[in-house]
Amino acid sequence: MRFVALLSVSLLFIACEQTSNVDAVGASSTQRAAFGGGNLPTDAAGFLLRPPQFTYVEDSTVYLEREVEVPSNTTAGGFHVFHEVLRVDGQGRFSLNIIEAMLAGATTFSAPSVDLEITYHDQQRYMVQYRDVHLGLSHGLLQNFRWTEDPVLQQIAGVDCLHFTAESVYSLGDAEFWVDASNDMLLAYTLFDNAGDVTLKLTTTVIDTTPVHNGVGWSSSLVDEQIYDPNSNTITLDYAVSQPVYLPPGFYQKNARVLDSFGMFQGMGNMHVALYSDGIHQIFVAQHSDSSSTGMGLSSLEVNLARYSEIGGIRMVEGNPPLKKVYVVGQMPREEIHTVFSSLFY
Amino acid sequence: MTDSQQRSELPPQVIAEMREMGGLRAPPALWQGVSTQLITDKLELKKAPSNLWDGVHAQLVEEGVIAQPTRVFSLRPMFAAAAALLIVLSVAFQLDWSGSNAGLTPQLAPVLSAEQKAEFRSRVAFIEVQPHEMSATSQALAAALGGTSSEGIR
Repeated sequence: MRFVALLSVSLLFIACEQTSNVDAVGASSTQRAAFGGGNLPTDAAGFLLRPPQFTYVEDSTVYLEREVEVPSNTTAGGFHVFHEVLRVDGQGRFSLNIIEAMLAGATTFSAPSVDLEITYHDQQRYMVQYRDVHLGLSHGLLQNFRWTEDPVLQQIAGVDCLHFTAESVYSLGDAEFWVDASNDMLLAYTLFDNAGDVTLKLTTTVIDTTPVHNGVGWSSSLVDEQIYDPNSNTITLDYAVSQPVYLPPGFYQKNARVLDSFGMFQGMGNMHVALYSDGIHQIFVAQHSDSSSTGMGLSSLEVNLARYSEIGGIRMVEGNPPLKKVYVVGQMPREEIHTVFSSLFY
Repeated sequence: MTDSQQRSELPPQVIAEMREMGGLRAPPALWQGVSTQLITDKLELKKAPSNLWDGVHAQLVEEGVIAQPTRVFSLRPMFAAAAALLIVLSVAFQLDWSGSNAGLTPQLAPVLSAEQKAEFRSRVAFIEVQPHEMSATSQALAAALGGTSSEGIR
């Protein structure tokens, strides 16, 4: 008993020291705007010893205008640029709407197509939740990326920002982040693929921290969803969930949900969606029963067929083994997405 | 300092307690986490030259960033070892009595060889199609990650 008490006291001292360190970091954070960036502790090679911590716009009260660039995936190349507005009320409600678009090859913005407006309307909640980067566990961020902090502050929408670079140790795609030096709020980021090409670039262009939100149609979930727990879910599954045997190096399961998607399309059952991440990039593995499907592959001894495509820097694979449909969609190179999908059949 | 010298710093009572644990092994994820923490602790304890530290410290006190010297425990490795032992005991208790490993740091996927990955892919034939030929579900999942075309989901 004395031994446990001694250890507990020791842990308390260590905990106190940890708190002291956190306070010191917090204090320097408020000071560093005056000094510039490059203040986080580094190793001998200049890489950060701890990944940076960000705050996120949906946790504040704010009006933002942003420009989002995604590859056009056309033979001509280039990027589509979407000009969007994000309103957040500080009470957990937000809305994301598109104002205008500049399609690849164009030089000026124009009104978005009706289909694009509908896509934004339907997907706004998920775009903020998933497309907008939210750093994962420190454990993964430190092991999967080499972090550096630019010693020079850069301006985003007139705000002094710290600039961080995350270099993938597995060459799966690097990333850059710009955060408000006064409150660590993430205002801009760029994701690259394994070849160094931009797959997503988001830049805040207007910030209003004292907005008046009148007549805003706040986003809501398209369907009911629950954290996956087969023992307590009321949204039930009528199939065995397939787990990927392979994940890209450094990835881990971030969460898993079940969606009340029964009957959305003919023969469709409820959906299981698992989200995997390396701390920055994300991959969805989704599946649902499909009573209308006879399957493109017939047994584990035969080759399965799958459709593959790319859209705006995102790779998608879908296939339908008997009575089921499975999807792997994510921000990873083609080969990685193919391998994750294939490993579902082992 | 050698490993054996480091071990001899542990109090005899701690060593005895550890020996009583017999062949009990911690989960690999725990050892990975503890070793990472110990390495991080070691790096954090590296001291700057005293004249540099004195200059920086005086500056920080003057600016009110820190009010008093930070306490550094000279016996920190011992406390870390003791803490690690307590965590092992806690985890062992949890595994024994609840059968749950929830709350542990998730294991990160390992690197697989190109041959192993090719073996997985050999079971599937991929047919490349236009984005709008994919199902609405695939397009919606892609849109949620930012994969939006000029026409949206069709």
